[in-house]
Amino acid sequence: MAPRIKTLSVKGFRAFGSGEQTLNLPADITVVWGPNSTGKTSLAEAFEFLLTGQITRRELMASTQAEFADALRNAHLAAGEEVFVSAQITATDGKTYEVRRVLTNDYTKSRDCMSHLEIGGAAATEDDLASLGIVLSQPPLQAPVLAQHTLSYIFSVRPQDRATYFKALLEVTDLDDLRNDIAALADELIPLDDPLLTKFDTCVAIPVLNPTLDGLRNTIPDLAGLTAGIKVAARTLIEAEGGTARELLDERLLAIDKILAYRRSKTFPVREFEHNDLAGWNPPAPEIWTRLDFYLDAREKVAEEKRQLVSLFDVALKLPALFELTEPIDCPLCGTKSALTPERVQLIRQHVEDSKDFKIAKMAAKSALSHLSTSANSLATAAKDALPRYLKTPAIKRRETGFTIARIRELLVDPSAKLINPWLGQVRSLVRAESALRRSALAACKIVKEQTAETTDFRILNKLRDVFSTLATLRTTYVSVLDAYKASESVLCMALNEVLDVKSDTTGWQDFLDIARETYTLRNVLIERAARAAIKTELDAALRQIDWAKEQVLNDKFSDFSTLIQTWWERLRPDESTFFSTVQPRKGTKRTIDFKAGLTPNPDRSAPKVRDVIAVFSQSQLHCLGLAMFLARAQHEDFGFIILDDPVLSSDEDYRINFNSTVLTELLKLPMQVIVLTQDYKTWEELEIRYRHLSISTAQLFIDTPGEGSVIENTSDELLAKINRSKSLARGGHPDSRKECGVQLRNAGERFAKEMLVNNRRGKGDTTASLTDYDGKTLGWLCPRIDALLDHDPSHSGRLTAFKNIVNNACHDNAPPGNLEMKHACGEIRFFVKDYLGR
Amino acid sequence: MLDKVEPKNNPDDLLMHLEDGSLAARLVRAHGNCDPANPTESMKDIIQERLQQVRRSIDGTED
Repeated sequence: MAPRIKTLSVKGFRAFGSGEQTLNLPADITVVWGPNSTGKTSLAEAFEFLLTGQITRRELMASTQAEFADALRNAHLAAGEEVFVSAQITATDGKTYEVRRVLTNDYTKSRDCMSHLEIGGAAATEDDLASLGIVLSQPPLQAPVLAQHTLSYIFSVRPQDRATYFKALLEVTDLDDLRNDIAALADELIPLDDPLLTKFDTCVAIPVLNPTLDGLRNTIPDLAGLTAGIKVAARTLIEAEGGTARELLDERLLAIDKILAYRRSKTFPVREFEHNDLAGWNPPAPEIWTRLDFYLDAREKVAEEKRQLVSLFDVALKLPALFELTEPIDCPLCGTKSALTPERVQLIRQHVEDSKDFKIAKMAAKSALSHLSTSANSLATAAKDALPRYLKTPAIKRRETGFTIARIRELLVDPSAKLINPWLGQVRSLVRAESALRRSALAACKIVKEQTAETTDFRILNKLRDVFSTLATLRTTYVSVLDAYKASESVLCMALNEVLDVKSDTTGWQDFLDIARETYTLRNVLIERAARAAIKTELDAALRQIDWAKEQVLNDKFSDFSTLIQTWWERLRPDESTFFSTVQPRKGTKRTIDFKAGLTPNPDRSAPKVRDVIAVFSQSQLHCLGLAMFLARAQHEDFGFIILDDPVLSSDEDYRINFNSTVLTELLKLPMQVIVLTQDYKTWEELEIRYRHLSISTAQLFIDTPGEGSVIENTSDELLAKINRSKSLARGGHPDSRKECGVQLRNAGERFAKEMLVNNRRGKGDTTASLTDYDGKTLGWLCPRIDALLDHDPSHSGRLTAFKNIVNNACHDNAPPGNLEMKHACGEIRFFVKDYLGR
Repeated sequence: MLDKVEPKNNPDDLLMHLEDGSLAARLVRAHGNCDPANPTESMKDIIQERLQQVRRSIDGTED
């Protein structure tokens, strides 16, 4: 169910004074009558303030915002008195909640007002209203309140600002977001940035290669086909240079290499940059040092004298006499008698045995020293070999070939010239690192070579260990310096080659050689590029389709909304030859909305001319269109209730009947709670009669004293309504107003008298007594008959007669009584009603 | 109380104007993950799948 407002209470807000005023809204339709300046707009704005905390009138009149300072708090309110608007609202859940907003700070010249909202006694925000089913629209016209200034707003704002009014209806930003998300996918498909592709594209630009390579770009063959194509291109290049191509691709590429080098070297000896890779080298294995250590240990174990006698022992032991010695014999060397006993021979054998291990250790040590020597020597050689050729070439010869810094500077112009100095810096570092390594390696080599198995010792061995450790460190440094040098050289050479290629007319040749040697990778990147390009094209097409579809969605929405506005327009102004046609976005714009009118001379509205409504509609028609749009928006956004402050211009009698009948009936059918505020008494009366079957609730607004402020009188009481109407008219300065006041007072007086008679008869048991029994009876007939019933005070009879005389004077052709007399008459009849009828 | 009203367009409104099965329609469905038949298919999945198809087609290795 839609939310329903059951009551609205106002205190101290705008025209409302210190007494809390409550408007009862028990029915689906309520009509409130109030003459000018009695608080109708204040009442409408009270609804607005309750729901939004603002009044849009200030916002819409931007130029006069400062003038709204202190506008919300009633000017006559005593300091400290609370200003609030509250409502009993039956929410969509069927429960009734009190929604209350208290003004805490009024507008100032430059600042918005402040207030706090409560729902069911708890602090709340505007968002919480949604939980009650209350729908608010887009600012600035958020609340479902139609006032004169909101009607004119839509036509007074610039066409490009009208979109705001229809934002909720016509907004497609969510679809825009969707579209943007898809567009972001397309952006992610960035073209493949691969150096091989760049090189390929450069090759395609070479005229002699273009016919073959361009075909490969457009239709990517299989690997064999691609290789064959490259092969054909290589042959074409060679033959264009006057050479003869060999059969194999590699042979052809080597031939191109040579031609390219030759062509480049005619301009600059670029081959001087060539260098070998640094040969691998490992520090001596731990085993080398172990062998040397073992040897030195063994050498210490076997005494020098013994080592010198080993050969003598060997010879002695080979003597046959010693071979199977059982008895002592004389020494064969010195002739000492019985010197060689079996025990002594055994000792000699032990000396020989010991010296065998020593010999093996000595051999191993010699081998280790040799290895160290070779290792140091190879490192020195490798260090030099890794240098670029120009650093190994004597300076004089370098100059002869033309490899000079001056020549390089001559060839490279800015910005490439800026590469030279960094490269030179790296050259210096390289030379220093190579020199340090080579010198250390050669020094190590020399130390090793100076060693013999006999002379070396532990001190030398430790020194060698340190030297080789230093060599390992120097080599590591050299490697990193070499890498840094190569990077700078590579950049320099690339720039230099570009220049050389231009001067030698070989631009793109190097690129061709590079791609020709990587056909597999080339094919993969060509496929990837083509695939991404194809998907990008597909995505672009998809985005165009989505854009078109979005436009159709928007067109559908405009069409639906146009139809809705047309429906309400036709209910207000059926069958007119100038009619509302459509609301549409201006072509080529996103936010500019036009309202179009149809003008036709034909009754069936055929062949209409379409024009902007602003140009052709009368003020009355614009007013109706504004009302139709408000109603269409309210219907579309499913407002549960609307407040219409004088929706029909007083000058528009022609379509008032359409509003009162068709429009209100259709609104109630939606269903929608409708609260109509009107200054037109006839409308109030008519609506009361027309919707009596729906138990229409009625109320009136009036102001007795400015201090008291607007007063709401909830009444379907025809008698009180007439009195209130009279009060309002009595204040009018024009004689016609006072005459009309007299008519109303006469009617009120007659009604009072009739009710007195009916009450009297019913009091006596006549249950059939009815007001209609006195239809057509005038005050002159009625007054004498109630004279006896005015028994509360002896003066009452005379006061009623005086009242009748004033009224009669006002109703006749002669000049009506003055304002004071008329106000007095209003007070008199109000007194009698209260005193005798208790109302 | 500003800009409280969010647009409430349904991707279905768009789909009504897009060719069923087209890349555009598949992406719109995937955007809201509103395809009950394939709720986990993301837009990136669709693009990657299509990219793979095109790669195979150019490579000559499509099924």
